[in-house]
Amino acid sequence: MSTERLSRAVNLPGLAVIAVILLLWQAVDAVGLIHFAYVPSPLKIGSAFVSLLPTPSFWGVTLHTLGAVLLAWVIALLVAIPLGFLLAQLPVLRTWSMSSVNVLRSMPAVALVPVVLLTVGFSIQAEILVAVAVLIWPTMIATCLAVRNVHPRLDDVANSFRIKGSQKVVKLLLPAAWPPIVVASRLALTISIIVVFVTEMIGNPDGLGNALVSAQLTLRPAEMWVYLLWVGALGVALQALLDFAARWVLPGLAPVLKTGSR
Amino acid sequence: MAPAGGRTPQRGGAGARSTSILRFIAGLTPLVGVIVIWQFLGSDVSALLPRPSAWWGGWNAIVEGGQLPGSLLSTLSTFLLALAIALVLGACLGALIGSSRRADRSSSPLIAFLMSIPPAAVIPVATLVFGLSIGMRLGTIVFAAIWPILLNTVSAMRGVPAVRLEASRTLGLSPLARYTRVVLPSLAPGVLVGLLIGAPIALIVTLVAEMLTATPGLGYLILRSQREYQAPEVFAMLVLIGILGLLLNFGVSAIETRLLRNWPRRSN
Repeated sequence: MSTERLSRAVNLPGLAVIAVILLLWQAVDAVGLIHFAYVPSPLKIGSAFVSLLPTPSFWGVTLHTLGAVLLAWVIALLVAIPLGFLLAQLPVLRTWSMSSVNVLRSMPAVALVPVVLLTVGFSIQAEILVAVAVLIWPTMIATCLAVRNVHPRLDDVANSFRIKGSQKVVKLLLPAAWPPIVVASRLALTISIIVVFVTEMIGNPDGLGNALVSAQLTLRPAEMWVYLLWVGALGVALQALLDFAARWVLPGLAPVLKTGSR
Repeated sequence: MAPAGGRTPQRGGAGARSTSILRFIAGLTPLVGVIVIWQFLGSDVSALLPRPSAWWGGWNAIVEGGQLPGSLLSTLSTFLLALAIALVLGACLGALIGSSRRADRSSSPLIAFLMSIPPAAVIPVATLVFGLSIGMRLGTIVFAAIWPILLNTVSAMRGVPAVRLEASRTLGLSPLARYTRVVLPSLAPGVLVGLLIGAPIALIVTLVAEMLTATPGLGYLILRSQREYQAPEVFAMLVLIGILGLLLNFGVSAIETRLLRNWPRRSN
């Protein structure tokens, strides 16, 4: 029973696939079958990781990037979710603003980087500003759709219980609209990592993005691979943390998160 | 195809179209308002936020530079080629993975990890390993845009009703006909949804790749203008890239409605 549950919780074949790929990579490097000067073996990348791990600069850039990612994410959610609610409640507002939102939303995110660097300068504020400007729109639209998709019968429920105004939002709309909003927020976290990272690569000389680029420019391939894999791992860890928190705070969400991850 | 479900009739007629255009224009009010206010409060000589009328000068400077047509062509052709490769590769791999539950389960951690690497992070690594080639740029764009196509194909494949496959067998279709007449049409909506999500990602990564490798293209032009502190040029390029993004958005949704007209409605 418990082994069955374990095999369901830990995806063993999936981990085996990753292990086989790493072993093959190591074997190809050891035999010298194909040789790329800048593709070190997994063991070399591992030892570079171990030697980077105790350095303060490694944790400095990691915390810098994580801080920017989370701050931008929180700011975007705090702005976008109330605005989404407002848009859903006021059809007039939708008519007079929705296509502006669509225009801004379809702006390719990276094009904002040079503009923000120009006006704000090379700083963590630039990273956060770009990420917020990208994250707000999809989150706002998802919130608006989630609230509008709340079943109209809940209006009748509100009427029969004489729940009005802010009470209606807190007691009925929010709980009913929550699941898609959580899924959208989770997607926003992924986008936040991507945008902050790009801004660091192109502009702000700090953080993991800059560390990766400078490892490339100074020809330290093992370190470069460490940063690449480290960012991927951080992304997976943040997602897992968010899922865990969401499941803990809102137990009813588990099935939604499962489908949302696909 | 059996007319299962049936799509709601298209809202046709010139009247419906003109009201939707009116709605679109009405919705632009806040954006236009900000630009008008900016025009009146801003100044031409501002080094950081030149007012919109000054952007025209920046546009002229870019046009006179003579690199715009080549850059536009380079960006668009790279983007379209990479998207086509991602579409074919993602749909094929997705169909393969989706045809077996075991393959789906054992590949999902690897895919989840690869997806969580910011696409831009792959560019310096690929530059070092493969050098500054068009193939390298295409590869990184495909790496970014393939996942939504692949994952949506996987779930479309897993969602093909068993009855449909059994029916094709009962009808005595050859394996090839079964594939082209039953499986592929069933996958099309999923692949298209993946394409809808993947196309903007591909455009973004195309621009990032140009910025990071300094290869000719719109991404490189806008970054160069920023490095030379030519604010009007930066804003002119921003408008151009924004229009491209908007056209892409319209194009992709037009393709979706056109192609999916004959398919049963998406369940979600």
